Amino acid sequence: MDGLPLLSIVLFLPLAGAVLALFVPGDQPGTSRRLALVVSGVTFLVSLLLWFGFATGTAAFQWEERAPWLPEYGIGYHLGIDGISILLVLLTTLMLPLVILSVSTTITTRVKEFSVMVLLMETAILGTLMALDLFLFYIFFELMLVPMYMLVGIWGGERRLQAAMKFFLFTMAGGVVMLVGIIGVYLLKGSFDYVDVLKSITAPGGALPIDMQLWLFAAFALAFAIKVPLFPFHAWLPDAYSEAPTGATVIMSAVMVKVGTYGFLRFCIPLFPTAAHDAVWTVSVLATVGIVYGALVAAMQRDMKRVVAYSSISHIGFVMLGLFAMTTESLQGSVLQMLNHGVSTGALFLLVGFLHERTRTRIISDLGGIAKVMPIFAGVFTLVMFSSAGLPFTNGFVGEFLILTGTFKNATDGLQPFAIIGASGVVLSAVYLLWMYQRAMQGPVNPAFSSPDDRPSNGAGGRTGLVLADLTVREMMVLLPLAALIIWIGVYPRPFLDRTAASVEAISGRMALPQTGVLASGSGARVP
Amino acid sequence: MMFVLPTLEWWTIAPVVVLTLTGCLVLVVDLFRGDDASPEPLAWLTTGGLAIAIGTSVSLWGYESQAAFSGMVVADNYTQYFTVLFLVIVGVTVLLSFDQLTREDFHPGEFYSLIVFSAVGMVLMASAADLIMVFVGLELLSICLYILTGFSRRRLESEEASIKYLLLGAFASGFLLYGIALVYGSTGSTNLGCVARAINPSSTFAMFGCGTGSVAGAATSALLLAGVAMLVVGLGFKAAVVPFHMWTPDVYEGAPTAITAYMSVGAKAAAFAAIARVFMIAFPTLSHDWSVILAILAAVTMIVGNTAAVSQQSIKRMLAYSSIAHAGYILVAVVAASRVGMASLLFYTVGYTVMNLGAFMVVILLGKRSEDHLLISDYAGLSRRHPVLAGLMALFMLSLAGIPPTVGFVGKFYIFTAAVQADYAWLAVIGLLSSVISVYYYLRVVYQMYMVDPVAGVEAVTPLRWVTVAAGVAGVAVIALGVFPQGVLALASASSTFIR
Repeated sequence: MDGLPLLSIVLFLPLAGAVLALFVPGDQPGTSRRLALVVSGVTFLVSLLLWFGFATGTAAFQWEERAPWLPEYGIGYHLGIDGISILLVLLTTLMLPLVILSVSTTITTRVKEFSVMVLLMETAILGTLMALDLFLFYIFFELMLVPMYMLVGIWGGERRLQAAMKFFLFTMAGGVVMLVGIIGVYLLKGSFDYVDVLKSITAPGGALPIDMQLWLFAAFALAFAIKVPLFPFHAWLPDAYSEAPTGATVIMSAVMVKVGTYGFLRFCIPLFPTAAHDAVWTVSVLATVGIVYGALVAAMQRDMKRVVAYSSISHIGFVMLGLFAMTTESLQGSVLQMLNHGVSTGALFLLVGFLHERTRTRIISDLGGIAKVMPIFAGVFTLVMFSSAGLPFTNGFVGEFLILTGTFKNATDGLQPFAIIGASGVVLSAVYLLWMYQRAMQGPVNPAFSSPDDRPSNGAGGRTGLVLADLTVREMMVLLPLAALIIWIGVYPRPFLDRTAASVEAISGRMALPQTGVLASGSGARVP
Repeated sequence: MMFVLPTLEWWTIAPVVVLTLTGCLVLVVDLFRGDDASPEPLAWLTTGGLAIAIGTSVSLWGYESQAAFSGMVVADNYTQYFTVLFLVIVGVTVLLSFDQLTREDFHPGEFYSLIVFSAVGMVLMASAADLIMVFVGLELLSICLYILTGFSRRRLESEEASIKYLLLGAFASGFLLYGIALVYGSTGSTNLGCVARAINPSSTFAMFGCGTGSVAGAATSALLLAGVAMLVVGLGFKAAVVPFHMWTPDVYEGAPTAITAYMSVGAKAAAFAAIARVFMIAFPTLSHDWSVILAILAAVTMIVGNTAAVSQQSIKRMLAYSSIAHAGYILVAVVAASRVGMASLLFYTVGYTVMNLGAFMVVILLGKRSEDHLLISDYAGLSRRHPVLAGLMALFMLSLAGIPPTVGFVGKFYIFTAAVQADYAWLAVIGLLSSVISVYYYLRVVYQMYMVDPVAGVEAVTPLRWVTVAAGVAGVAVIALGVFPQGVLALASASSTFIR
C-alpha cells in the first residue's frame, strides 16, 4: 500500500463519480442511482484499508500527502488523518452509501442531480476531515454548503426554500468570519499549513499573544458553533432537519455537523490553547443548556422528525461538554460520541423516514400501535432508541459515560456541576424517547393503518386504510450495519478507543501543560 | 535657443496605434458596403485588429520601460496586463453583440468603430503616466460608451439611459478635470511621478518621466487634498463606487445587453487601472489621508451594492448592483496600498471579468426577442429545459458570491488577505459579511433555476452556438482559475512591480 495516495483516492473517488454522473442521461434514473451507490460503496471499501492499516499508539498523522499548491502564500495540498479523524472518515464513507441505498423509493425525481449532489457532498465532508491545510480545509468547509442547499431546496418539504436559505446564510456567515481568522493565523505564523502552524505554536515561546488568541478563537469558534450547532446558534437546525428529505437529514445530522465538533477539537483547542481554556466555562454552560434545552423541547414536539432533530441538539451538547472538559477521558468520550451520534441519530432519522414513507405522516398522535403492524421495524427502533438514550451495552452508554466521568474529574475548572446537570440529560432523553415510543408504537392500532397479514375478508379487523408493510430487505440492509455498530461499540469499544487514544492524549497533555499541576492533578491527564 | 524635438517612442503605444487604425479602417470599409450587407466582414475585421493589438501588447511584455511621449504614457507590464484584458473583453463583446446587432438593425460600422475607439480610451487609461492622459483616455472611453448605450434606437429605455449617462458622466468629468487643476496648482505638475516628488522630494519615480529638475509646490496643502478628493469623485463615478453609483442600474438596464456586459467589466477595470496607478504613484505619501476615505467608500459600496441587489426583480438590475458591490471589493485592494494588494486587484479584475461576462452570456442566450431584459423569475425551471446553461449560470452565481472552489473565492481571498495585512481587518470583515448578503440574491437565481417549476410562455434559448461555447469556456475558466490561480497570479505579481 506504500506509495499509493490512499487519502486522495478516498477523497476524490466520489468527486470523480459525481463528474461521471453528470454525463448519465437524465432519463435513466436507475443508472445514476446505481452509479452513485457503486462509487460510494467502493469508496467505503477503500476506506476500510485506512481502518485496518491505522497504526495505534502514535499521535502522528498517517498517510500524509503533501504537495505545494500556492507556495507564495504557504498554501499546500496537505492531507493526513490521525485518531481524531479516522472514526469520522469511516463514518462518512459508511453513511453515504447507506443513505443512497435508503432513498431509492423516496427520491424518484431528478435522480441524476441527486446522485451528483450526494457524491459532491461526500468529497466535501471527507475533505474537511482530511485537510491539514487551513486554506484547503476552508475550501471544503464552504463547499459543503452548495450540495446541501440543493439537496434541501430541491427535494425538501413545503418550507424547503426558507430552510435551505437559512441554513446557507447561517453557516456561511460563520464561515467567512473564520476565513478572517484563518488569514490572521497566516499573517502571524506565515503559513496555512496546520502541522507547521501547530509546531510553531507549541514550540517554547511560540504561543500567540493572548488577545490575538481570543480574537482568533472567537472567529473559528463562531463558524464551528453554528455548524455543531451549539446553543444558541441552532436556529437553522430544526427547520433544515425537518424540511430536508430523509437522505439529506441523515447526511447533515450524522456527518456534516460533526465537522463542527471536529473543528473545535482539531483547530480551536490546539491552536489557541489559552483562549480555549478561558472559554471552558462559557462553552460548558452553553453545552449544558443545549443538553437540557434540546431534551425539553424534543419532549414537546408533535412531529417525530422534530423530536429527533431536537434530541440531536441535546446529544451534541454532550460532545461539546466533553471536548471542553479537556481531560483524556472526556476527550476520548467525545471523539467516540461523535461516531455514536452519527450512527444513532442517522439510524433514527432513517427509521422515521421509512415510517413516514408508509404512513405519510410524522405526527406522533396520528400513529399508534405501529409495533403490532411492523414488529421488525419496532425492534430495530427500540435498539436505536436505547442507543440514543445511552443504555448500557449500546454505543451511547460508552460515549456518554466517558464524557461525564471525564467532565466530573475536571475539578480544577469546577466542572462537576456540569457533569451532574448533563447527566440529567441522559434521563431526559430516555423520557422523551420512551414517551414517543409509547405513543407511536404501542397502544391500539390506528384504524387508518393495517398490516398486510390482516385478512381482508372477515369484516372486522380486516385491512383498512394504509397497509403498512414491515421493513423490506433493502431497508434492513441499510439498518444492519448501524445496528451492528451500536452493539459492537457498546460491548467492545476497544478497537475504537485504541485508535483514538494517542491523538487524544497528545491534546489533553498539551492542554494541561500551560497550567501544569493545576489541570493535570485533578484531571488524570498524562503530562508528558 | 535650441529647440529639442521630443523623441517619440512609437513602439510603446503600438497597441493603441493598431487599434486606432483598425477603428478608422472599419469606418472606411463601411463606406463601401451596401446598406443591408451582412455585418459579418466588419466583425471579422474588428476581431482581426484586436488580435494584432493583443499580439503587439504581448510582445511588449517584460519591458521595464521609461515613460514615453514626454512622460505622458508608460508601457510597463501593468499596461500590457490591462491591455490584453481590455482587448479580450472587447473581443467577447463583439461576439456577444452580434445577434442583437443584426436583430435590431444597428449600424455595424459605427458600432464596431466606437467599440474599438473605446478600447483605445481604456488602454490609454491603463498606460497613463500623466493626469491629463488619464482624462483623455477616460473621455474617449466615456463618449463612446454614451453613444453605445443608446444604440438600441427603437427602445426608449436605451435612449433614456444614454442621456442619463451623458449628463451625469459630464458632471463627473468636470470633477475630474477640476481635481487635476487643483493638483496642478499645488504641485506644479500633472505628471504622476512629478506630483509624487513635489509632495515628497525623496520619492523618485524616474520611470514616470519626471525630469531631475526641481519641482515647485506646496507639500500637503488643503488645495492638494481637495484635488485628490475630486479625483476620487471623477474616477469613482466611472467605477460605480457608492455614492457615485446612481446611474449604474438605469444605464445597465437600458443599454443593449452586450454593452452592459462590456461596461460592467471593461469600463470598471479601466477605471480601477487608473485609480490604482494615480493613487499608488502620485499620492503614496498621502496614503493615510486617502486610504481611510477609500476604505469608508469601499465599505459603503459593498454594503449598499449588496443590500440593494437583494430586492431587484430584473436580472440586469441585479447584476448592476452586484457590479457595484464588486467595485467595493476591488476598492478594498486599492485601500491595502501594497504590492500584494495591487496583485490581488489585478487578479480580481480578471476573475471578475470571467465570471461576470459568463453570467451575461447566459443572460444574452436567454434574452427574449421582444424585450431585451429578463426577470429573475423567467429563469424558473431552467435546469429542466437547459441543464447545461443552468449549470453554468449556477456556477457563475456561486463564483460571484465567492463560494470555493471558484475564481470568485480565490480573488476575494487575495484581496481580503491584503486588507488584513494592511491592518484593515475590519474592512475585510465588513466585506465578507456583506458577501454573505450577496449569497441571498445570487442563490435566488439558482433557486429559480433548480427549485421552481418552469413557467409556460418563456421563450426558448436563442440559438447562438458561439456564445454557448464562450459561456462554456468561461465556466471552465471559473473553476480552473479557482483551483489553479498560480499562472494568472504570477502575471499579476509581475505587473505590480511598479509599486515600491
